Amino acid sequence: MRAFTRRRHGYLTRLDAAEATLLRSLAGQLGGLLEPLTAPGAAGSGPGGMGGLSEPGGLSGPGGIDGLDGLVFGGSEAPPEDSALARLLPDAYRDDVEASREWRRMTERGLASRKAANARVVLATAVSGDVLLGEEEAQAWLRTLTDLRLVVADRLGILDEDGPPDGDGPSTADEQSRALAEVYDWLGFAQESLVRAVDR
Amino acid sequence: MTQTTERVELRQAPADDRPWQTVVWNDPVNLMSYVSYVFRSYFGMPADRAERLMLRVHTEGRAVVASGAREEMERHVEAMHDYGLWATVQRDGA
Repeated sequence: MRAFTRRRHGYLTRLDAAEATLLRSLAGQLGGLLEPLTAPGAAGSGPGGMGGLSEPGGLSGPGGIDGLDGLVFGGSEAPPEDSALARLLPDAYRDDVEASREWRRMTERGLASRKAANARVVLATAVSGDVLLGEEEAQAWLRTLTDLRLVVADRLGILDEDGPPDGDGPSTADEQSRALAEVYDWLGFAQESLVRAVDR
Repeated sequence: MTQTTERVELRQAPADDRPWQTVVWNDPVNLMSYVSYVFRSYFGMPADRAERLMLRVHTEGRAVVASGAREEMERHVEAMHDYGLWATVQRDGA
């Protein structure tokens, strides 16, 4: 791809067919990863949500407090089990489990939904050839590129700023790691160039 | 209504007056240019302050980026997570 440049009508880059396909695939996968957390009564623990409809006793059900709570917030309270998702949706308090749980219950679904919506923008706009992004689309790309780098870094086991760990030997796992590492670098180039174009 | 004769003490104990803070944490993924951009565009920080705080995150592992009411700090954390940064809420002096 070319580095993003700011033009009169937006931010311009050029993707080849492989890059466009890759980016759309990544954005689609990111959306899939987030999607379970965007629904009411989503995955994880939590008193509310559609699961409450089947609980015996209590006030569960559409007219009950538990049911309403689930429809309004419906967020889980525990961090996602998937480590990449947990990095996209981290705790808000390091030393207060209760406060973290409460905050997560209130905010996780909104955060996951917004991230999923950003990924859908990238899915719709990452075409082969010239790509011209408006302001809002550029913001969606900035956030999605970051989220994608976080997910890829997690899958690569990147623990420090030296980047992906070196593989030993030509095993299949290392082939995949090398491919992922290239994706990680490419995403970094895209992210850096878009930040520079937006942040004049 | 009954007539109240006691004064209602509204001030909290001194320990509760400590302000809350939003802390941004370093991670190996986020680009320095991006972190600086987020500080400028979301918090409206001037460029040199954004740069200074970004470098503090990078070299010291963390930086306090805002201070004030708890609910406001929680909103900042949510916004930072929107951008893909990791931030937490803490009490001043924590």
